[in-house]
Amino acid sequence: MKTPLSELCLESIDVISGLAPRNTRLRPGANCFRTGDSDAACAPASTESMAWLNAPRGLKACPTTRGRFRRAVGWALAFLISAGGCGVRGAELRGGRLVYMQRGEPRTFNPMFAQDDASHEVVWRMHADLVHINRETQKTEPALAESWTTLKGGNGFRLNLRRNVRFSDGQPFDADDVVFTFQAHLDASVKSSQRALLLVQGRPIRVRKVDPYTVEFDLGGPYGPAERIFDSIAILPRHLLESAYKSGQLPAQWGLGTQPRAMAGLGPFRLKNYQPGEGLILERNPYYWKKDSRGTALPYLNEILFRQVGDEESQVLRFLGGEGDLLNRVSAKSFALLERDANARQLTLRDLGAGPEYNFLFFNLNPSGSAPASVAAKQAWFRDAQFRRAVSLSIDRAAMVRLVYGGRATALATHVTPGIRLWKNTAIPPPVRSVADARKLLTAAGFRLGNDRTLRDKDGRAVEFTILVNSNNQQRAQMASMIQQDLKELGIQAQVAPLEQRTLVQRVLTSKNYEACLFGLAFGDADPGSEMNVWLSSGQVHVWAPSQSKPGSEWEAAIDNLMRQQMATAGYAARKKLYDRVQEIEARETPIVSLLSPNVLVAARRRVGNFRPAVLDHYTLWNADELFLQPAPGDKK
Amino acid sequence: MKWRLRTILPAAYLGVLVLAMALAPVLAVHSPEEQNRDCPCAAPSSHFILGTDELGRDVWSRLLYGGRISLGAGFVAASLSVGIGLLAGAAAGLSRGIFRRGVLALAELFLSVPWLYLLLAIRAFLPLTLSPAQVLFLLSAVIGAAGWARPGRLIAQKAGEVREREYVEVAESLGAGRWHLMRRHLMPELLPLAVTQFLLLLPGYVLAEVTLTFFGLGVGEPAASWGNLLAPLRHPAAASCLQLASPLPLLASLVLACELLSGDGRGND
Repeated sequence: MKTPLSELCLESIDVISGLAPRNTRLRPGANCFRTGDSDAACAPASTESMAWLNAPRGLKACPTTRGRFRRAVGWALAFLISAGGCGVRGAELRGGRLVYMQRGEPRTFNPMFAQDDASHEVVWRMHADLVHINRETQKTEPALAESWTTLKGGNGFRLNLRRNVRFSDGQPFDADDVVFTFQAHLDASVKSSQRALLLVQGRPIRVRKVDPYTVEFDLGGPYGPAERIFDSIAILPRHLLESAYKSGQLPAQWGLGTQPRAMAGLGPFRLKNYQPGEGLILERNPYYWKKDSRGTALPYLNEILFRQVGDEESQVLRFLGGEGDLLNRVSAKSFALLERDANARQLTLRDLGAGPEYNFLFFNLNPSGSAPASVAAKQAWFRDAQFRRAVSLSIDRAAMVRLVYGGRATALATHVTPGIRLWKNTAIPPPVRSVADARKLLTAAGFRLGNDRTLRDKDGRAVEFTILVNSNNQQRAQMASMIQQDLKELGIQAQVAPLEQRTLVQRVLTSKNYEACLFGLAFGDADPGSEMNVWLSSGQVHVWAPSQSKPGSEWEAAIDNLMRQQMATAGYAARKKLYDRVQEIEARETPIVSLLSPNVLVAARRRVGNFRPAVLDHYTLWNADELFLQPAPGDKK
Repeated sequence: MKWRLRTILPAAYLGVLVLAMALAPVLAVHSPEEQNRDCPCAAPSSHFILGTDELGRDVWSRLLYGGRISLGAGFVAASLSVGIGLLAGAAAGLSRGIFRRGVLALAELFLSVPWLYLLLAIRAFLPLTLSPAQVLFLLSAVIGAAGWARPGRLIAQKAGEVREREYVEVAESLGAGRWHLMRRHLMPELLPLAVTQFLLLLPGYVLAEVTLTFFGLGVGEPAASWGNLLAPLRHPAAASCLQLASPLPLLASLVLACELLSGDGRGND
């Protein structure tokens, strides 16, 4: 895999300056735009990216003469930068319009009801939460709450709110807005899409105003993800929405036809104009509360234009044609296409490695009686862990990574991708293909390979099944074809049935009329809490046997217990141990045959500064308040 | 019909095409589903006549086997459409009353049905254990059955004209039954029209199968079909694997050959 240019450049800065602490990963994109660029050190300030330049820790890393020289050069650079010697000041970064191409139209501006990607991309530039998960570090950081303390041994939180914060319409923000927001979300009659996130052990959390800048939350019990519960709950303006809430009209508020003046948020941007089918413009929120390390008010950009262009292919072609500044989540094929012209077109391409998405094969393990008779006859094979492990061993994941994703994916042993780095059980070895071992397992399970090269069970029945796959997902269709050929080597006859996505989901989750399925899911957050619905046997997305009244097997019961325990345990280390055990059981029982996780691939024009994409949503936009546009050569200020 | 060059050439071309598809097991060097994972998107060579696709499958073999599916679907669907159209049209042409109006109204109804959505629904309800060939047959049967209305209306109109001719009225007045009228007087007049309709419908139905498969609604991977071969070309990056476009000249020449043949037929009407 090639190292992106910007990374090479950053490494060279690290060596030259000797300032960066050794364990600090420099902020890509914030520092340079071309390899060997003399402007590379003229980095714009970002809230975090500049911190290392002043870090005295970094000096201690260079005890030699050469190190002292590096230090001197580094200090000189730092001085030049901080004194504005390079001519780059926060205020000078301000201005410009960033163009972002969306694949669909937003459906609402109301953060309580935004569920689609397009709405999220827009809404989350207009709003802010109390505690935010930094998409880069995957850890929490203060947002509207500048600090917090745990109460009752982790069963509650006291949040200290920032003072002198104003909504984008100039009205002040205080604890009443926080209480109003959580009351509205927790009111079942409002039907907020985020209400389920605010239930701990099935009970709604409670919120109480202590004073105008302090609020207390009672979670009603221990909650593993702790303060992560506050991430992505947009704080709403009580002064604008309270009357609508009291009259039961809250769900109808802030639709696409709403006038910009009727909306307000605490995010870096506010709505300026929306023309359906043409585009949407967000403008700088002059009251935004966040500042960079030099005290310059963010955001730097004056405007963001969201332009809806349809599918990924159109997006890529338009991007190559000079339209747009950022591309979110492109496929490996598109990435290869962009790579060819990256230098000529002044593009920064970033392969961020495995993301939160995992693709997997699973079998119908629903309890007897819930699946049709034709499927039930084959469930004896599917229920045998040795059979599932044999299938897993026979699959050539490395070839899938190479042929389907051009090497831009990671083979998986369990569902936890390397992108969810804090929670991956590194003791579980990576998957290795071994047809011989697969055959041994099948033999041990009572299967026999006949003279006709067909695998037969104890009763002499030929082992054959059908794999459902989403007909609109070309990569999965190719993966299914590869699995089919791999299984042939074991004597298993697998058929591939492409189905439209909705029909496929209906078959898997409702009618349960399927044998095997190739599917993909993604972590909603870099925390196992977001996976409860998948791993609890009662979960609606427990795809191999959803919504069970009681666990169908001992190992499912064990996973249920461990998942519930980790949700009720405080502290990362203790939770990690529990989640590691879940992954061990998964590796042993193979309820899903984890295949691979596609890399998160993004692109930007080199004029986009502070480009620091992350593997979690919204990939390139999560730090929109810090993005800026570098003037093209010859542009007048 | 005179046997002119513009008839002989397209007819011979269609014959060769059908023969090549029929002899696919002999002409194909590799299995169409065999993946040579070490040589994806390989250029044409002595080993792979037309190169390989993204999974390393031989494009020449997939072209031949895929032609069987795409052409086969076209033949089945066009035969069904014209067959139903001929029977319904001739019967409607022979009768003057409510039956004729009923058949024509039914044809109008069929023309107004959104077939793409119906196909989607049918695909969803088909048993999953069907082989690609069975799925193909069912889909082409639906396409064919749905497409009878257009030839049916034309044939009914022609049959109505023939029915009004004097020799037919004389035969009827002499006591000829409907079956006799149809067999002796209508069919000889209607068959050239039916053949022309078949030739007009055939490329359309082949393209329908290719289009459905191209968008993932027809015969699924790994079965070879011209639609499956073309599907990766949806992405601009597939320009580096141009051998995947090999069905395009065959499709274009098929449309041209059928057009020339049907034009010849129309000229003789």
